[in-house]
Amino acid sequence: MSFFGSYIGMYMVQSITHSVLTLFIVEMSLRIWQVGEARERFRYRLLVLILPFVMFPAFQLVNPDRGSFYFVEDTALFSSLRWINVEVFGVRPLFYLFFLVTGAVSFVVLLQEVVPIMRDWLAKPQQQEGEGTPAGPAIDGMVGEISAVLKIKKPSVFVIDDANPVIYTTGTKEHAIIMSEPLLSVFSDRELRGALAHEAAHIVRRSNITTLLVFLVRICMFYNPISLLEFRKLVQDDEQICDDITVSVTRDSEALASALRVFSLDVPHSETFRLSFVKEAIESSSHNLLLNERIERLENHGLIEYHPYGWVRYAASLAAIVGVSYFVV
Amino acid sequence: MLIRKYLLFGAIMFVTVIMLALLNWFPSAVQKEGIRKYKSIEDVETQLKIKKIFLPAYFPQYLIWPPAEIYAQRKPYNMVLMHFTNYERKEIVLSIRQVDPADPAPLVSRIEPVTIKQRDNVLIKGRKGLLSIALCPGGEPCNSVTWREEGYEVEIIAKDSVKELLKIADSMMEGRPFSGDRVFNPGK
Repeated sequence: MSFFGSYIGMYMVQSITHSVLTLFIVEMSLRIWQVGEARERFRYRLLVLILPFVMFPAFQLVNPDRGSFYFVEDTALFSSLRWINVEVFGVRPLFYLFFLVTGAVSFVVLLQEVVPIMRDWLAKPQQQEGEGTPAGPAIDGMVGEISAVLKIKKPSVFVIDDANPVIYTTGTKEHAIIMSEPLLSVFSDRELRGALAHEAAHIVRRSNITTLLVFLVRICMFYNPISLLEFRKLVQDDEQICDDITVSVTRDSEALASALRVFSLDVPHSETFRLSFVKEAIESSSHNLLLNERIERLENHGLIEYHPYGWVRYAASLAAIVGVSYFVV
Repeated sequence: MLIRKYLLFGAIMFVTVIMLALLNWFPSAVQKEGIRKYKSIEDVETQLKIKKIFLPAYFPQYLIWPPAEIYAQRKPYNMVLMHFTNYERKEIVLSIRQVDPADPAPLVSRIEPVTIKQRDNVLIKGRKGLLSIALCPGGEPCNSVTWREEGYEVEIIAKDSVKELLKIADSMMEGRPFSGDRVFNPGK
């Protein structure tokens, strides 16, 4: 049996094809339904990551014969293998392209995600949630007010000794906000309130759990280029949703935009070419680009009023993706 | 306004389906290799230049001629698979396949037996063959016989009795005399 005839081979090919199709339908849906809200866009983009991960096994359960020659011949709308097996002068270019792309994407995921996580994990096994010193009554009071508005249990705030501007939320049940010491002197009260409200918004949205689950799906589909790109968009959408929640609490979009500027990274440069500099430069530029997009959005739109979800149109898009994908093998 | 959006969404989905169908058709239009469906046996002979296509001289009356489906390929391995339908039931009841024995994963028939009840060695006009008494999904009998001839592995699967199946197989071996006992090593 060839690789593409095996379950894992079929899974890899079909999950990538389903990702492309889902991405296309989702992007079309976002335009047709004129989805402008980050919250709703997030739900649509989640489909691009989740559906291709689960559709193939679900379809095979419904119809084990779905991978057969006769299903492809009689029923299927599109067969990826037809293209992969196309021969040009005795060579199958798309066959090699498939392995080249999936290999390259796997390498990027390994280098960008798995290695840093493993390195951090091995270097700091003792690091626990809530490390650092308590932030003090002023910040505690501020977080208490924000928590009351957002109707969440007030998280603890800890200050850590780190020269970089860092603020994040930890925990899945008991949450804590961790911030680095320089932020206390860099932020004005308004900016600090905005930054803390943003972290509290992550707690409201359970971003830690959501991001972890989405990240696991992405790692499972390490070979899939669409998952790689879509994961970043999802994280960016999540940040924008938290920005919107923050502004709804503080009514001060300018302060949050100003606070975000602190997190811009210096793009490294060097006289001599070094691969590590290129990697850092790309990462810093990409980080700044996403940050600038959020700042611009906050400056231009301010408070965004959320409308009720369009469940019917969402269901229509979902049904179209699942329905068409069933016939794409 | 909302209806217009739904109509637009429907139209985009329709175009997507059409595009997928076109994209699916394109490789088979430009690519002549691999398993393809043919309209007639003559097409297979002329287009693929396969010299020998095994056909039965004995053809039970309940079968429709010509074959309902013919799949064939020349590369990487020679293969011809024909499906025949029943006059009354209009379903596939007989398949005849000839395939290069080197093919590691030849195309299987639409009537693939699922439960093998018994295997017997048989002689098909003097050639050693293997008879499988089996059931199709649903418990319907579908027996098969395979043997090698002229560099091919020939397989017949029929939703019919063993007697009829072997009669069809015998009739495919033109010019070869019947050579005595059919079952020479039963139960093995």
